Amino acid sequence: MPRLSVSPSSKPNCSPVWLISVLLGLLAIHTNAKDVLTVPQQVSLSANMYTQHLTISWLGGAATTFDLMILRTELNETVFYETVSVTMNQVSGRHQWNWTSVEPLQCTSLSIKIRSRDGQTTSEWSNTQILQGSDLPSNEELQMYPQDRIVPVGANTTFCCIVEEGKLFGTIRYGNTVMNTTRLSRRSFAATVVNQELSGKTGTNVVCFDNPKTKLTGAVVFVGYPPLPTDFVCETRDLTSAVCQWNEKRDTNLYRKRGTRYSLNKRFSPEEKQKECSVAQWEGNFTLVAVNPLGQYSLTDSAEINHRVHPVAPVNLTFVVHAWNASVLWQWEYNSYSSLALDCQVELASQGYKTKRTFSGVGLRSVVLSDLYPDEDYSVQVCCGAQQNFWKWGSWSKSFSFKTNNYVPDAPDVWMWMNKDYTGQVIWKPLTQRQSHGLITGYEVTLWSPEVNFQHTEFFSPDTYAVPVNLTQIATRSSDNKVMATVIAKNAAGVSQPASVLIPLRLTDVEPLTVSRAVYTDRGFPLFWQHNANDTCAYVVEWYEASCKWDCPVEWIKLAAGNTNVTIKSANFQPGVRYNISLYSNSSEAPELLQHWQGYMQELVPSSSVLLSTTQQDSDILLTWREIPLVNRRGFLLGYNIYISGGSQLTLLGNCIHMHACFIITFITICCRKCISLVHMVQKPEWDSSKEVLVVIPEEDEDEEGLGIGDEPVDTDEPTSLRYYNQVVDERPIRPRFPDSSDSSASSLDSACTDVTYTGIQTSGSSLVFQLDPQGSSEGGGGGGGGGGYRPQMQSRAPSDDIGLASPEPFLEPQAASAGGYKPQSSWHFDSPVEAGESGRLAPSLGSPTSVASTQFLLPDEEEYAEEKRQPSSSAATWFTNLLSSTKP
Amino acid sequence: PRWTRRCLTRRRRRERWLLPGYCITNVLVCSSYTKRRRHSWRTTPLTEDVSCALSPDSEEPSTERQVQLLHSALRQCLGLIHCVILKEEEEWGELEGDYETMRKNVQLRLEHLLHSTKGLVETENTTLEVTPDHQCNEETDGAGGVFGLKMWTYRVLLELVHWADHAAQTLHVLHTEREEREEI
Repeated sequence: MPRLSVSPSSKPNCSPVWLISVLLGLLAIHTNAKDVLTVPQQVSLSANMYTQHLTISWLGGAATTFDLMILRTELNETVFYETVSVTMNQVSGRHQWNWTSVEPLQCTSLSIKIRSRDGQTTSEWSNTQILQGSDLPSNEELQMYPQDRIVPVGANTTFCCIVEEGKLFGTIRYGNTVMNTTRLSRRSFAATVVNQELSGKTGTNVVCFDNPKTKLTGAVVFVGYPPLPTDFVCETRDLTSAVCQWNEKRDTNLYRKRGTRYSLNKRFSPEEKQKECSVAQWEGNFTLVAVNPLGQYSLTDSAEINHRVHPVAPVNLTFVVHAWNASVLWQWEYNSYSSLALDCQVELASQGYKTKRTFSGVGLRSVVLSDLYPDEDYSVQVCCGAQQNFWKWGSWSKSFSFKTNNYVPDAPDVWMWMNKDYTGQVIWKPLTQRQSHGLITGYEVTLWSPEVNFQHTEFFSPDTYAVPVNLTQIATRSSDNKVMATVIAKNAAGVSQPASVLIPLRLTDVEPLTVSRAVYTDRGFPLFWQHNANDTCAYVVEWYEASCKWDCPVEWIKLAAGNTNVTIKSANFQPGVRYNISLYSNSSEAPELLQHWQGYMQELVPSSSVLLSTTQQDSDILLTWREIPLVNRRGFLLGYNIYISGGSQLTLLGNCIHMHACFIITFITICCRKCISLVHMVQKPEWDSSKEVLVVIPEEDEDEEGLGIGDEPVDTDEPTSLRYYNQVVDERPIRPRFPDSSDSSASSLDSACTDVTYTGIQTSGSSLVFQLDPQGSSEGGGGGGGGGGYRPQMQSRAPSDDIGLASPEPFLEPQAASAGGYKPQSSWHFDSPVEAGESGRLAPSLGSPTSVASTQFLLPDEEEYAEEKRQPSSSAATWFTNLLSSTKP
Repeated sequence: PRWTRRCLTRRRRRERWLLPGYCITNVLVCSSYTKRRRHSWRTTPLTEDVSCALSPDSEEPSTERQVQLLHSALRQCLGLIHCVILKEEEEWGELEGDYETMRKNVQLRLEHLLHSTKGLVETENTTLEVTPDHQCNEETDGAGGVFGLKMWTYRVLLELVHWADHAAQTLHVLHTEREEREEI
């Protein structure tokens, strides 16, 4: 290396000679250095057009620092000019520098020259080497570079367009975007796309047009991702080889020849799409390498073979079938499974339900499925896993089906219905498929009474579930109080166990029980009863529509001994229908009625009106009405309201919560400037005269007064309305409502002001014109011909049951007043009471034309109501007294 | 002659920047155009029009003969469509959307048209083939590249559009002439 050598001087001074010497010395040193720095020789260029790498090599002597200059040849623009340190390759003796061009190397010619540098000292420039571009005049065509480039998402790529010789450059479009361009040479123009987004599957077009647009050329660029495999795992199916699988975390967006190639332990996977590869022998360590033009990614997996057993699916399933169980047999594809300890799942599907059962064994090939049902279709699938070092469940076998064999049927669930004349029915529930155990071919029903040595058997078709019986003869001959009915079901496999029910013959001797009310909830009718510790009997709870009297379609449920409650449910429960519900003992003796309930699933507004009649005696009006048929009540009746209609308005006269209601109404009309009617009502005066009431009824208005009908002492045209009420209230406004205008033609509600002089209040005794049945009225709970308590199978089925006198229903309600005797005395009635009863209109509470639909109800609450039940006379008196007080001015 | 006038009309209509300048009047053009195109796609003039004014025959061929020539051209176009499908599948595999369905429909309808034209003009002395007349062993456009393949596909489809138009006209003329003959 050249060094600065300075001559030492013992006498330093500033003489001109010394200065000249120093300057000459420096000049000599400089001249010497130039001689030492080698001018780079034999500069050669090697270009990789795809990677746009330019390799420059040269002979540079001992120099390690060089200045490199790269120019665009045509425009003499500097592309690269830097000082670089390059060491000499000891083998070739050459220096080498790699440079990557931003633009494709074809875009334009590049001139490269090098010089050596040592500090501030440089050699001469080497000869210029030119890398020829494709824009040479000899290459006249319109061109675009780079072609078919593949770049990662987010990359920047520079494209160049070389216009045709003699033509003008137009534009470069990247997709639909016109790009900014820079000129590289006379014919070459470049555009750079930055932060490139994913291209379509067929790449993004980059198009160059000349100006004017006469020609175009272009290139396609593919923007994607390097591979990123995941979930690489190897397992064995045959206990020898390995099957390795993986997934790709993302789509590389590169396909076919640009797609990802996979190698497993350096063996290439044949298919790009297939993410699975097999190796004939388990190697323990596995390496997956995924490669695409944008990069590569490796994953490894290591495991012992017995930790990675993924069993194949069992094949050739066969069955040995019985009624209650079946054996499933299968085969394995590989013999090696014979020594493999397995856990197997058997999925059993039947009637839409699936269950899994697990079995274990070495080389398991069969299992026994117990607890099946006879005559039932099953489908079975099997899959297994290694018992030791469990890896995963194997593949499911194909699904196979079988049907279990028939078996004798279960004994039917038998009950009976008896009418009060020794006729009735033996009934049983249809056997379900799981009770039938095969197609039922028929039933055998036997009636027998050991005492009279009577036995009678008949056969019935499989669709028979009720058989009529007539025990009249047996009843007359037998002193015993029961007959046994036995039912046997038959199918192809045999006959069922006999199912028996004892039919009592002394039904009429059963004392009526009190009737409780059952309240429906979302789940049904919850019922409770006391358990007698001495009782060991089971129970039967039966229910049926209360309106049914003969051969009723009864439902039942049998309960084991010890039960004290049940909630009965039925799809047949209907709103507005009253049900009788009975609890019977179920033992070796005839069933005994233990408890009785009545209830509605949902109470509705009564569906028919009352038939109201009036009888006039002097100034007294006797109102009578008939009982609403049970089916029309649609709820428990709480009482009746009585209104008097003044045309557009109804005035409440009072209400009646007792059965056989009867009012004597005396109209007392005072005529002054305004018309006032006083009505004296008497409820059952014969047994309680204190329940008189005086009601002031203001007349409508003075205009109506002017239309007065006359001086009649009693205005009997004043329509009186009766409305019964139950817990379901009609919400319509209080206005007179007629069933139909045609029905009310004879009874206009437009009564005018009655201009009658006050005549005084009649005594209750003088007003009594109708004698009610004293028994029926004695306690309010008394009633019909049945003579009291409830007897579900002994009710009269006389038609008169349904049209008795009106009877609000107390909590303990007798079945209605069949004792009857009452006939409507008024000429006001429907032409057809039946029609009225069955009209089913939702406009309830309208009686005959005499009665008028009325009002909201003054419902007593439950406590008051109960209290009234206990003390009907006094409470009614109180109520009327209150009413009287409140109406006094 | 009528044939020439029609081609000239077509030429004027095609003077749009993206349409190739070829107006094909010869059944051989389908293949010759691809041969010419091989090393020249980058410089293909967008408004250039070549040789459409002259029919190779000095006299205008009869309509039956025109249909035979048409049939031959369509057969070569079918070959090109087959080739397009082959190359596209090789390049990209399965493509998205309805493109593949439409491409298949074009091929099926072209095959149907070939059968129809064959039935119209085939005689005892003239046997017409309906198989694709193309080996698909040629390069696409220029130095290749995906852009070249796309351009080539586009031109094949333009070619097909041309011959489909031409088929409609020629077959109409054939139909009219035959009706006139029957009336006489």
